[in-house]
Amino acid sequence: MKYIHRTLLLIGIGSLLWTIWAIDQEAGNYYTASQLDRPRLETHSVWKPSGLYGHGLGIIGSSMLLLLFVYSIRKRVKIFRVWGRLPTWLNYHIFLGIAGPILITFHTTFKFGGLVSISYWSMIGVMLSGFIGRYVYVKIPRRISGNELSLDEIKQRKFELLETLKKEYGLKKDHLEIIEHFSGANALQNNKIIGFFSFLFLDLFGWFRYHTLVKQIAKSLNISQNDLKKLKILIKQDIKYTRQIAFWDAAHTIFHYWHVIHRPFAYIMIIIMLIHIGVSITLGYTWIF
Amino acid sequence: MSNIIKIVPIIVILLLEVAFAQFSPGKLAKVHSFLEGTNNCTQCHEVGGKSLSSGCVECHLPIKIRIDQQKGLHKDKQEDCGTCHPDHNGLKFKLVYWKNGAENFDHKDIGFDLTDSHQKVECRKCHIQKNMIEESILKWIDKYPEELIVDRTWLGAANTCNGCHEDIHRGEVSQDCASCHTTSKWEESKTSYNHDLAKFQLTGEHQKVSCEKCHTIDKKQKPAVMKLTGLNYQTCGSCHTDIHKSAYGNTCEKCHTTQAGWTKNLIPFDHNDTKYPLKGRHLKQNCTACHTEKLLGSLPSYNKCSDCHVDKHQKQFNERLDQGACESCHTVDGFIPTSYTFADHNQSEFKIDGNHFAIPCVLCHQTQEKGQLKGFAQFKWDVLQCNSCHTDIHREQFVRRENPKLCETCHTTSSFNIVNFNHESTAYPLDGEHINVNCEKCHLSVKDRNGNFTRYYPIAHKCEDCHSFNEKNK
Repeated sequence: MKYIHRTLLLIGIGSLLWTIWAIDQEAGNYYTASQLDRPRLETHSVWKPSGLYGHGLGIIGSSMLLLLFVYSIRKRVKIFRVWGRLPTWLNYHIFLGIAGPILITFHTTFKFGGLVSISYWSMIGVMLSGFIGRYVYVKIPRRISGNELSLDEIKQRKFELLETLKKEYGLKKDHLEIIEHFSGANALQNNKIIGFFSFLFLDLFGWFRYHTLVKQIAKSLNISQNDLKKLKILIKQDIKYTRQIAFWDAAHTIFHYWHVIHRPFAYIMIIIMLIHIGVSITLGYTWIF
Repeated sequence: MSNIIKIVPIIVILLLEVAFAQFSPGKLAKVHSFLEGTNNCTQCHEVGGKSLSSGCVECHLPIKIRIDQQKGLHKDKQEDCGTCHPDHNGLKFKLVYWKNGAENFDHKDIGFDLTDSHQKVECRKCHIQKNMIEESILKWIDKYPEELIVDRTWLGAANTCNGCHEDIHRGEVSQDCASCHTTSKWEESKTSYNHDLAKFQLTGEHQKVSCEKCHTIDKKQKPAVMKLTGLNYQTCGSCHTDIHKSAYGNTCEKCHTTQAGWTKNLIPFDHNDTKYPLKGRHLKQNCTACHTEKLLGSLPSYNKCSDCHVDKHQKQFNERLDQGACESCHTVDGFIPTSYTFADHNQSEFKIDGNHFAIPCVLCHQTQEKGQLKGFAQFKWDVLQCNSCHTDIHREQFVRRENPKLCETCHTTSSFNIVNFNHESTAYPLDGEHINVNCEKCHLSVKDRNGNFTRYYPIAHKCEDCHSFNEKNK
């Protein structure tokens, strides 16, 4: 089942990339032309927001945005909780949250004005906040089902991991202190919400020193090459647990506020989008129907 | 409660944004900027229908009229106006777009093709309010004066020549300028006029005549143009000088055509219709033999033969009762032979008789070599005597007798040699044997420096003058 979803997502991503490529081929000149020149181009009739292709992109894109909410329903409505794993839905949610805005951006022909621009910029806001949310989301430890682990559970997992490192690989207290220091847990814990940026910095640049750290520990332990690979994974996991535990409170706080941003933008986006769709239909812009 | 708290910012943001935003997908073009605003959408857009057209033509009524009339550039436009005139593209966007520029618009598309000189004329030379005649356009212009429609619209311009051009003919001729003029060089295009359309059709040489020859230019008027109407074309003399001075009437076409050589190649004329029907040798004569160039000013006089013919008799017969009328002696069948008979001649002073019947006229009426009648035959003599024709072989021996009919004293016209002389009338009457003596016995032939002649006078008439008194001569 996991592979089916992956395949579907790959097909979706592939289709999105092909669509972008096809648009570039067919309407590259149109989209790069100035706003004043576009109506003069022959391609305007089909690629304009109300054109056959342009309107189609809008309809497909907005449909994707509507489908995004299936994830929210799945997440919040009890009777739908039996519908697959939440992380899988999130993957679709993320894909649709990227593909939809891209198609809608082409639908707008990069002309952002009027009431519907609020929807557009809200959509962009939702998308960008989605990236942040996704980043914070993965900082909260979860089960495979997607359900959050409690702090005690993650601490228990960390404890078990440390025991393995001590017993099977012979890591000493000094080694564990070095790893603890490397994880930046103190900074994350002390900076609280601002620790988000510390986390981001560590994710982006901290791993450059990670290999040096592992080599340093491995050298003192004199372990085989095969064990070194396993050790690397375990140390990496330990660092992850350490950071997650340190960032636990901050992550939840951020996630709480994130919802306050992400959701309103999503609602604004969807409300104005529906108004936009309603006005369009009222004025007779029914695409091919 | 927490959910309410979450919804509040949504509502606040929405209200704020909606307050400053509108549904418009973009700014309207400058000319439509007065329609900006959410309340104005349906001014153009039709609720429930995609088409803009019904909204557009409410203001752009002249366009609707033209679409309905299938006229002009919009004659076949059925689609939404926005297809060609998309709006909401900003204030700077020009709703009327000419792909290759307005100046390169193919005017043929609207049924008024620009040709030749018209192609070089700036659009606004014609498309100005002065030339706009369509009522709907003029009303439109008046209705929206602030929109300066007159400076932008291409509609309403007259499609007649006089719509733009001044009628320099002052309405004298048809408004169908194209029947004479073209757009190449209109002032030189008059030759293209189909004169067959006029009441006076050009044929023959008339087709080669420059227009100004007949259609004179009245330079008193400004601008000076050819006179095209009011021409008197009923008679040829309206244009042509009548060299006949109306002598032949006004029906020139009876003799002349308009073809080349019209002065010489005349239409065969039935002279019998005239007061002078042609007969005899006159039928064989060229017209110009009588109607000579010198006579072109009028009809030749035909009362007398001498009006045409040279009087070869040099007025010698003028004193006759008929005043020398030619027809008294001649006919139209020829100058000779003459119709003058011996009987006629016998009516004259000189009766023809005897041997005179046998001689041709010219023996007496000889062509003179000198004098007033030099070169002409003489028909009149101051003194008509035998010696007017005959040579006096008697060397004027009888002249001194002062007898005007001296010759007839001895001679008759029957024979010169049969002398009928009465010797009794002389100083020497014959008697006796003298009667039987031959004349030449006494009248001997003598000779002088001019030759021989018979001596009649003076002559000795004593006996011894002829007789010798010897025996031998008795």
